[in-house]
Amino acid sequence: MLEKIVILLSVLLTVAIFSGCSDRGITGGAASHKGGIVFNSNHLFGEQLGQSMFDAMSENPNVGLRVYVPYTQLRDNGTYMNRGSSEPCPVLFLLSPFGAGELFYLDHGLKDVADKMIASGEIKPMIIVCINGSNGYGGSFYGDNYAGGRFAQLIGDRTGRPSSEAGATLIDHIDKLYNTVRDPVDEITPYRGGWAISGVGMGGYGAMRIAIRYSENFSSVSAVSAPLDFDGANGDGGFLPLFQKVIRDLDDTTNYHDMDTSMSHPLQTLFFAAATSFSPHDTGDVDDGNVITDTTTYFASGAIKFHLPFDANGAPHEPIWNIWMANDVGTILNNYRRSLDSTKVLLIATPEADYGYYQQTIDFWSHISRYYADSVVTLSTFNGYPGFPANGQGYTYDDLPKILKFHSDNFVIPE
Amino acid sequence: MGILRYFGFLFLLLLLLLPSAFGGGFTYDGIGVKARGMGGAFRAIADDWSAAYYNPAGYARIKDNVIAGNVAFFHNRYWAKPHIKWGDQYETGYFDGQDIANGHEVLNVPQAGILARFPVWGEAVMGFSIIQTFDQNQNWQLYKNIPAYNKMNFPRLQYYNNLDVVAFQITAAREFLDKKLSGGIGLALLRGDLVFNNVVLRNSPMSAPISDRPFDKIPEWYHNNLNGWGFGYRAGIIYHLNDAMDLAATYVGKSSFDLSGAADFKFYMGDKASIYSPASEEYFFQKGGVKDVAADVKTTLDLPASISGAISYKANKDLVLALDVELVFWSEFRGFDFRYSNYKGLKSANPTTNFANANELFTTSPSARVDWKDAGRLMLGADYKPFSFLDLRSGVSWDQSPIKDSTFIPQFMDLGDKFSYSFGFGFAIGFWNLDLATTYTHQPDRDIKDMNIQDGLLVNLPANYRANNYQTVLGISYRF
Repeated sequence: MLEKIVILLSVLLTVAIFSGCSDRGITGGAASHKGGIVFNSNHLFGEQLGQSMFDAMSENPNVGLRVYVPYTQLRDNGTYMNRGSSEPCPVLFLLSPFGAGELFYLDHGLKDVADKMIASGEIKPMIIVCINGSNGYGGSFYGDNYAGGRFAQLIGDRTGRPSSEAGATLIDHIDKLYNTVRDPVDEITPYRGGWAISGVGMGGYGAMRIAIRYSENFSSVSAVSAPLDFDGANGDGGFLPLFQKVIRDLDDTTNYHDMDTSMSHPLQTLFFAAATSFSPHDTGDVDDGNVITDTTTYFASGAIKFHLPFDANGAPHEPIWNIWMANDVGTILNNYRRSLDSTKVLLIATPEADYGYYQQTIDFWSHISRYYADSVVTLSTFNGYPGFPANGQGYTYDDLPKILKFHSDNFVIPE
Repeated sequence: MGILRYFGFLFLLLLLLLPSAFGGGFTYDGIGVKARGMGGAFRAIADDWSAAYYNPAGYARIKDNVIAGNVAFFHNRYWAKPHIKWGDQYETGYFDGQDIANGHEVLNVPQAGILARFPVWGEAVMGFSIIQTFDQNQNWQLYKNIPAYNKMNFPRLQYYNNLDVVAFQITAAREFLDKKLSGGIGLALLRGDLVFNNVVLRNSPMSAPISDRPFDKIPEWYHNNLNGWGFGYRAGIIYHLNDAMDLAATYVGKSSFDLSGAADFKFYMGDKASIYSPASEEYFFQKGGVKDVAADVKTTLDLPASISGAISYKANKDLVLALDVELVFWSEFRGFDFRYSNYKGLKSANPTTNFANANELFTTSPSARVDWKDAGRLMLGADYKPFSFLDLRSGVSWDQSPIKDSTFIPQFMDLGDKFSYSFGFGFAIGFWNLDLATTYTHQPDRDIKDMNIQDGLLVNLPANYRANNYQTVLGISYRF
């Protein structure tokens, strides 16, 4: 009996001491994955920017570009594989918001977001071109005239010219440099289904404007909290309430004509920037037919001359405001009817957005939803978290996955 | 047949009462192998050296001089599946949705004591023992910087707590009322050692766009290594009601004392491509890398008081049953209010920048305060002696958790009302006793859903937690 008890107790001792020693899997960590690379692909666009009223731009018509290339187009040592050596990838243009440049999206985590989503198979490998849309006042609003810079044309158009040739556009440039998707028949023409455009704030406006005007070149467009309806759904919203705000915010010693572009008044500077793009005081030297002779809201600072859309009382100044309204994407859409017929649209907006951009986005969504089904136009809204409101571009990092997924899902790549 | 019946009784007791070796809060209870075998129901028995801890009055009834010790081996098997998102939707860097196991270690804690009868105060028993009364060992890796923020890794001991309180206790006891009543008291010099690491996510003091997501939070890892000395006491009585039954009561006094030492901080700075002037504060907040800061640190360690009542019943000459009830005043423990001084490594001002935002960030104390409640504990044990040389023991306990969801952090793992099941045996060989006890503690799953944010800091760590504890205690004693 004693022997049995000793054996039993010995077994119990062994079990007791070694219990709890099994493998329990991970103790923390996340899987690593392959990553893409970002190239500096700045390029000169003398034809489109060489006559800008901003000397720095006209003298050096360089557009800042950063191009993310997925790992699928890279060799193991990280060098780029030319066309023919890897699978072509679709291209997404990301337009910078007001006050930011080509590093904006990279500074908001673009590379890591794209690396992770591509590695996980959540999105297709894609080339992402980050575009600097700023001018001397912080933002070109991707307008389309010589005095302010023909950003819309240089980004959205396609000429087929060699990228080194005058008049070549960004699509020409990117298609030449990178292994993009081309038409399966002629193997030369950039294939529409493999190009998309997006942006935040001012960049969202530019993306929508370009997607409508150059709808033959882009199959999907997205915009985040952007000025997409300048006068609102009822003609009294959009930018209009902001005119009064600019006047109210002037300090006691500053008159209407003393306003300047110091960033201490960002709203004021935003209107100045937009005015250099939408309503520049073209003296006729450029000869593009946009000569403005009205001087009521005229501002000049050296070579920089433009007209504000509101007067000293904050009321819209009709001659100029009408020019602005010609740049409203709703108006452009009316001019290019049915241009979004085969373009997928994603609108993202937050009620906490600055400058009424939420309502402008919602109003535009209401406008185009009348013409396009939910399957074509998607609206997504978001809020910040307590203590960190979603004003400015603070949540771009969190919007990027939605943007990349949307465009990835809507790229149409030929077999 | 009789033996089989008692084995059957013990086995059924284990099965029926499934789920007492894991103390609530950060009580350490791998003390005394006989007590552990009985699930901690030992305050009315208290007939070995570990009575210094369970009930000092027990010393009065020990006839022999004794030198003894035990060592406890234990595994803490914990898992956490964090669910922490700002505003319930925004990525934080925690391993959300991943079932993360704590760092695995087989821990061991030795304890020992000696006691002898002295012809003082009539006849008193006096002893000296070294007992670890509180302990906590936690090691987790639950966070990683968002890659877009900063790709640098954290130190291996990320969420870490190694808290040890060792009592160097002198115990004295004697009998009163014609041996009907025993009384004892233990006076202890307490040594506290604390290594406490933590990760906190600070609000960026910079404005947009520098503080745009995911640069809205600046991860800080801190490491505090402190120690100090204090005093504690415990007292107890045992009343011999009749030949079969003893009643007992104990009281352990609250102890508070300061710990001091050194602290290291690592601030992981956002890594962006945009370029500011290298002399500017904006550049400092965007250049990436880690900023190391050091300081002296102090905190106060509050150890809770407790009271208990117990009863033991001698069913026959071979079987003793015991029941203990204890209430620990955990509400007296308020966590750690770390107080820092003599900082080293702060940013020096230059002609254009005074780095006020950075230095304010670096010198704001990341205290780990908690809000706990008092917790009770019920212990039931049996000791059966089938042979003169063998004791078989079993026990079960139910133990409340003092920790509220609002300040639950993984450095203190006590998930809820726990059941522990103990089994043990002891051999008597001449003047020697060899004993073993093993205990399994099953903790209920605990799902902490709500984030508690105070002054911009997350003061709890929401996750789905699971836990089991295994403990084996080996003991040896010699009577002389």
